Amino acid sequence: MVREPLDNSAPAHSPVVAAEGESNGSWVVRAQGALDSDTIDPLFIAMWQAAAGHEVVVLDTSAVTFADSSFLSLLIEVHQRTELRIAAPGTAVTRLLRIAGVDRVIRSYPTLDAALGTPPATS
Amino acid sequence: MNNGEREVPEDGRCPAETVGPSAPQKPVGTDRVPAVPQNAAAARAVVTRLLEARFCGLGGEGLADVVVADALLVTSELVTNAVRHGGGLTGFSAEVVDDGLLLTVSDASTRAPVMTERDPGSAPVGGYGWPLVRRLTERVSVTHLPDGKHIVALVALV
Repeated sequence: MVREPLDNSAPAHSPVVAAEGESNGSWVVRAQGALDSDTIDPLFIAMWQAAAGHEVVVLDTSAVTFADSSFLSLLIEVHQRTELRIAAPGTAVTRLLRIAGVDRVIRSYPTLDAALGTPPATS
Repeated sequence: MNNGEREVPEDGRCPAETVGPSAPQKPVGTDRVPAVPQNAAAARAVVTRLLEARFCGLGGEGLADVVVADALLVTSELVTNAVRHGGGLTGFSAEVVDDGLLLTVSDASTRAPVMTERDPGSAPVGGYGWPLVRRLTERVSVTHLPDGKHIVALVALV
């Protein structure tokens, strides 16, 4: 089940949150477009709320065309609050994670199904 | 409707129509960009068009995706720093030189770039940008001026 975001969750011209909802016991947020400090706030809000109420949060980045350090900040903050899984990263996201060394602490999965198919890490 | 500008594909790949040296001059393909971009997205668009014109228009396959990604990331971080911490972007140019992509970003602040890790009381976004710039550039220099500063960064295009 994936529902469309609320009308006020993203500016109309830049809906960086494409959809969010629960799937297979995890909360899935699907991001899209270019993520920088001018556009990322709606995604920050969605991820913050997801992290507060869910053991596993999957961020589907398959439709993300660009991401910069503001996205990095978001990932690190969410990672500190819940189990964050990144699904289907493209070139831009993969490169950003590697350059920043974040790929060593936040797990990425090649597909959304792969991210959903792993049971929560025991802590 | 054709407004005379070349479309840049979202995925950054080269368009089917190539532009050779004899193609008519178009403002979007020039090295120097007279107008200051409105924001980081506009600056990234300038660099995307420049790299596309230089490396896709001569019949080649263009730059590797990861090289373009690095160039756009550096562009975005420098312009964002100027807008958010530098009192505003006052100048921007991108040109392809022998060693790579040369970016010059000017802002209105005489303070040095924000190089430290973010402190907990600051805005929820920021602090990771400058280390990325350092890691992705061959060299970066800051020239202080009476009314601001220039940051010049060289990104390798190999």
